[in-house]
This record gives sequence, C-alpha cells and structure tokens, in this order.
Amino acid sequence: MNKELEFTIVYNRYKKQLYNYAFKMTRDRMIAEDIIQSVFEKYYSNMQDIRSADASSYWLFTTARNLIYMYFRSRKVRFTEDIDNVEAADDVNLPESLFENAELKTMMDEAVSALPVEFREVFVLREYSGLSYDEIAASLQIEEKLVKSRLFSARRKLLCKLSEKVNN
Amino acid sequence: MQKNRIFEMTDEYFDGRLSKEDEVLLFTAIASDENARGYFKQMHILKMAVKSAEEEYPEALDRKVLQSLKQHTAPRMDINRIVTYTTSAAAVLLIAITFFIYGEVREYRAKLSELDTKVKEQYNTIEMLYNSLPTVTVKPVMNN
Repeated sequence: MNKELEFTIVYNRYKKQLYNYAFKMTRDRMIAEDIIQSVFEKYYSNMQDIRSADASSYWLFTTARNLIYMYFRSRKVRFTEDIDNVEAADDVNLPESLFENAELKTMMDEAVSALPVEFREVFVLREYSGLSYDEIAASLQIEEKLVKSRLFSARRKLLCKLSEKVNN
Repeated sequence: MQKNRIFEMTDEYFDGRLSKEDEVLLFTAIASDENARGYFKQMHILKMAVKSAEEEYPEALDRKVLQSLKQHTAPRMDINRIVTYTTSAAAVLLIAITFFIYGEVREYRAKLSELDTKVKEQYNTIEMLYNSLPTVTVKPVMNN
C-alpha cells in the first residue's frame, strides 16, 4: 500500500483518540497540539518499522505518553505517592438533571483534571481513547488488574467530585 | 453477591467486557439490590457526562500536521546525491584538463620539432660556411 494512503488511514483512525488523551492529560491545547503533531511526524518517519494496526496503536500511544511525561517533567508535575490507596466516598448521587447543566463539560473537565495523574491516565485512555484494559496495560506497562482497580477508583472519585459540584 | 463484585461487574458491563453469564447475574442483582441499581444509574450518568466532555479534533491541527508532513516528503538533496554530483563534476573537469594538457603537449612537441629542424639547418649552414673558407696552410719559418 502507498505510504501516504497508509498514513492517512492510521491518522484518521487515531487522531481524535490521541488528541483527547494529550489534551485531557496536559489541560493545554497548544501543548496537546504540539504533542500530536510530533507523534504523527515521528510515526510517518518510522512507518516502515511498524507493520500491523495493533503495533501502530501501541506505538502511537506510547510515543504520545513519552511526550506527555516529558512535558510533566519539564513542568515538575508531582505524582501521588500511594496512588492505589486513595479513598473514594461510597455515597454519591448524581442527578439526571446534570445534563441540563450548561457547564457540564467544564465541570467534567475540572473533575478529570483533579484526578491524580495515574488515575487520570487510565481513565482518559479508557473513556476518551477507547483502549481496552489489555491495551492500557501494555501502553502503561502495568498489570491489567491494576488498570481495572485504577479505573474503578477513578470513576468513584469522579462520581464524588461531580456530585459535590452539582450539589454546591 | 458482594457489593464490590457488583460494582466491578457494572464497570465491566459499561466497558463491554462482561460475559453473557455475568450479565444475567448483574441484572438479577440490579433488580433486587437498591445499591446495585443506584451504582448502575450513576455509571450511566457518568458515561453520558464523559461523552459530553469529549474534545473534537481541531481542523487547524489537521492542516498543521499535513503541512509538516509535506515538508517531510519534499525532495531534499541527500548526502549521497551531493557526493555523486560532486564526483561527476570532478570527473568531467579532469577529462577537460587532460584534453587541454594533451593539446598543449602536442603543440609544444610540434614547436620543439620545428626548432630542432631549424637548429639542424643552422648547423648545416655554419658547417657549409666553414667549408667555403679558403684552406689555411701553416708553413713553418726558421728564424735562426
């Protein structure tokens, strides 16, 4: 297959997922755009070494992740020390009227960015990038069990945060 | 069934990972357990909220990426090509210099041969002049 055509297929398939991943992680449109541009430039230069579609997905998300973490390091972003034992309240109550709230997107974005980086990453990769548990585990080089537990905790935390915001 | 297991199964259901058998168990639990029902409802609301917060891919970024790739694919002089061109130019120059030197040498040779002929002619002329002079006879004189 022609290189340009092959690239276009991969680009159109992953661009939105990758952009959501980069933006939800960095919370900066300019940085997210630079990361995406850089990821696709690198991908284009290395296409001959990446053969299957699965390998493309893994390669793109891993490269994006490396660039995101480079940005975090340059910004000296702190990571939670005991990230897997963060408490999440049990009683949450999100009303369905939430969808009538004009600021739902902002509320949601704020709640997601308030999550510790490791939880946010698993949540964003699952919800906004559509990766499966095993794909997330491979990209983050952690066990699938840990992916599930972080995702579960992240969701509980988000429910709490949103509930707080709605009730305030 | 344990509360955590129900929550876990609810998560798996929304992630499309729950098996058909477990799905039956989950919906049985939801029908009978208020907590399970509540969590299922919350998860549904959260999923909808997540969907509403999805970012659209900026069109400007499309142009930016494609532009940067055009620059990538634009024909560039690579090192090998530069070396090939330089070597070819040097070879052509050497051939030209060789022809020039060859022409010069031939010209010098012709001139040298002409000079040689002239020198020979002059030598013969001088010799002829010498031969045309009257013979000198040396007579011994006794002064005593």
